[in-house]
Amino acid sequence: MADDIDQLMASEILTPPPDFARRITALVRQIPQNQLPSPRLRLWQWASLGAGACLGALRLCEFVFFAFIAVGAQ
Amino acid sequence: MDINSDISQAARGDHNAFGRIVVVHQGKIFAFLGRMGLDSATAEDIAQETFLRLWRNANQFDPKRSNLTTWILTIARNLALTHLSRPGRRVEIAGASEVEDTASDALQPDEALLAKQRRERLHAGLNRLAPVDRSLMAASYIEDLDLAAIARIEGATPGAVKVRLHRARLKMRQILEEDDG
Repeated sequence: MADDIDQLMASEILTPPPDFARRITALVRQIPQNQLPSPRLRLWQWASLGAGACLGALRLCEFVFFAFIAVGAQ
Repeated sequence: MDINSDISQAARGDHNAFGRIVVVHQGKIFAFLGRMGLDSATAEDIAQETFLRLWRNANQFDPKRSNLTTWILTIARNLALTHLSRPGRRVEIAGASEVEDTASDALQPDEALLAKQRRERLHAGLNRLAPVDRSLMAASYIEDLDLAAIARIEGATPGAVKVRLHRARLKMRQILEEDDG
């Protein structure tokens, strides 16, 4: 009986219509592809971005402070 | 040309590369859908939708993580299962009407009749199997598809697939014996 199932399954083969591939290829010319969403930042990426921003702000404050001192000294 | 290179090119909008993918995979998809007991019109609709989805989402394919054939068959399987689970769908009785217009065109009348009877018997059996079992049985007859690939398509472990396949075959055997008796 196993052979019988194999024989039945082997006989059941649908084949694509002759122009199927050509038709699908023509069809996709009119269909836009989905765009991948821009990758979301991970937590560590947000954290390093925040740390960089804090460091930058600190350096800016430092510059302003020393500029103020320098102007005062003159 | 390498199929992975074709899918990368298709992902960048290359229609010709996509056409090559369709040519390579269309036979497998139709054979798979036919062995699930779907008639040729339904199989054509599902195959078309499979390839359109592949085109739309080609840039999501990662050759490092999966195999293109497995990916395409998974899309076809899911669409076929959705179709088969639709409550109002018509019963697939492809065996009776399609023998004439497919493989048996070239057969002698008695051979064609035998092929027709085989198909009717198979479809009667398949229609009484659960859709997931039909999908499993159909996948197991695709050439070059090992148990691990079938497991990926079915979303199960190879061990579970082996057990389910054995059970599906037993059930099919039972159904065919009932029909014969």
